[in-house]
Amino acid sequence: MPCIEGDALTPTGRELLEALAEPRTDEEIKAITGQRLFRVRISLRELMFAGLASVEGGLYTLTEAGRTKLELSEE
Amino acid sequence: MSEQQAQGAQDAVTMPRLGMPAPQFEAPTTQGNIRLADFNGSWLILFSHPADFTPVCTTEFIAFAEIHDQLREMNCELMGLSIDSTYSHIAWVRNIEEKMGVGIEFPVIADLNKDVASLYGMIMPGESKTETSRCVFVIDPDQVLRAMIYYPLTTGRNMDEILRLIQALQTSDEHAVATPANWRPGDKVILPPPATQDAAEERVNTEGLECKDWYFCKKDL
Repeated sequence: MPCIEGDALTPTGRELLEALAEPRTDEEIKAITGQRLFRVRISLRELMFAGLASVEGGLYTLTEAGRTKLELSEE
Repeated sequence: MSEQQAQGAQDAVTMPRLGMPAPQFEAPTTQGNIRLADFNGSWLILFSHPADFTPVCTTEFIAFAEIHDQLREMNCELMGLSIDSTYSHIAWVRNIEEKMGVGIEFPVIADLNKDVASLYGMIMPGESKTETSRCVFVIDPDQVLRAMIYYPLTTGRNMDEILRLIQALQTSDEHAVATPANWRPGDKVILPPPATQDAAEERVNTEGLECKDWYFCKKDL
């Protein structure tokens, strides 16, 4: 499942961004979402490409743009 | 050099080697762009088929889908490949679900420019220059190529053997043993031959082993 369609977050995208409320590894995100690890990595790459997430030292986290996007999607 | 030899040299491609790092790639699939590195930490069966919407390949896709859950339980993912477009793959996968009632949940690489097929030596020009043969590459969690199986265009693969191969490789890794011909989970396994005379003497005197001779001992796990 893609994380973003057009300009909107998909349910998968929202679930992943919510999981990134605090810095986490891809394995931790897998455990939270129940997705296969390779699917998690594909999704994280998509979110990073869109500027909504970033990674440092193997820990993924929300960017400011990601936090804003998540808040807007919840409204 | 004969004309045949010259053609052979011209057709030569780099073939992957067992025990070496699997060639890395990024490719479009039915589940988005995927990198081989995305499977790091999992076993992976990367397999190719000649073409979408062909009968033998359809039976194989259904058969792979049927063992998909068993493979997942063994921390093993599946990924297909052919020299077709993503749209063709999507149409075929939807057709299999609609006509045969089988969902295909694994990604399928659309290798229209033959990049991955060439990297892995999946095209056998003696059979076809435009289609991939029925290749299976088993890649371990460290992304090392552990096994290869090649079948011709005419012959569908045996899923029991593919499952058995993964079970055997995982058993060998976990217990530092080898597996005999026709081994199945639960059967005795083979101990690596002793490397010294002392070890050979100790081996034949070890209780609980089934030894035909010092170099040929089996045990239960």
